[in-house]
Amino acid sequence: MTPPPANEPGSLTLEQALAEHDENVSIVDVEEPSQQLVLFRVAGQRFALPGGVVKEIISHDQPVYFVPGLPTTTEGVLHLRGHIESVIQLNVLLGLPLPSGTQPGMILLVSAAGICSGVRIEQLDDVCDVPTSLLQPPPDTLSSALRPYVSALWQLDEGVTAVLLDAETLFKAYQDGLG
Amino acid sequence: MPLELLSNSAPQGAVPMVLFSAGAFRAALEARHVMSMSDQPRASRYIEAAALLFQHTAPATHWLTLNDTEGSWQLGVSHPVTLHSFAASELHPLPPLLKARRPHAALCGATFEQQTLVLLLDAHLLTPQATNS
Repeated sequence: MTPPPANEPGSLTLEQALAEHDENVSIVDVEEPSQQLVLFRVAGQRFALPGGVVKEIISHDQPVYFVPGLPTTTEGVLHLRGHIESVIQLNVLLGLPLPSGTQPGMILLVSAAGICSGVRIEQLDDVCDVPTSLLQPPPDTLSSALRPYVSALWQLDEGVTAVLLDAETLFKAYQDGLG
Repeated sequence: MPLELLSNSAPQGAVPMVLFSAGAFRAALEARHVMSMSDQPRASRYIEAAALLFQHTAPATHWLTLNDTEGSWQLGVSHPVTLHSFAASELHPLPPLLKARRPHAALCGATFEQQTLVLLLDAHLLTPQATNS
């Protein structure tokens, strides 16, 4: 039996290859704090809410019962497993136009400031964990309409930024008659 | 027409409610607050429910007699006027965000009648002089 050929210069042994793999794995800092975000759109704009406040994502075919005499940003109530929950639109609070006609999007069931309510969204984009180091404080140039309700920005891609909303401030503002 | 003629015996733990239409919407009052029902307003104080609650004009077909601190008054409602007992679990308080923006303080909750939303009204807060909350 002939002895195995020596490795050519530049090649690796299996042991070295496995060790290198381990080194690559160790580059990933699994301890980096992250935050779960629910990414969605309202009036074409990208927004996010912390995953902790979004209790449920409700399908667009769930009926919403109209309640008369309320602002146009209040769609009505959902009948959900023996409870009723309000359904509101954030458009006016966020300085965005109200949807024209019926555009059934999903509803996020959001719980914040001791209040639970459905929030109508145009489109659900993703639910993901984002390293908190990637969340940037809102810039001074942010519109004054939006600023009170924004806790951070997250740049998803070049030129694509999601606005992380503060659900508690939004609900309190809505209660105070804004939006 | 005395409302008692329409009544049935309420199951234990249930709340008898008088259901009616106010404009295009269904609403309900606790039956114990409704003294009687007539086809025409007879009290000196009366108002249509849709006008009181939503500032809408809607002709009334029936008039429910209620009492407040100033005596009897009548609430104009539209048919069908029915009596129905609801289990407590079927009567839902108004969610906080709606309560904050409700058009009238008497609007206090909601229930369902065959997939139709019924607005629950607090008779104590429902007077011709009531103001928005």
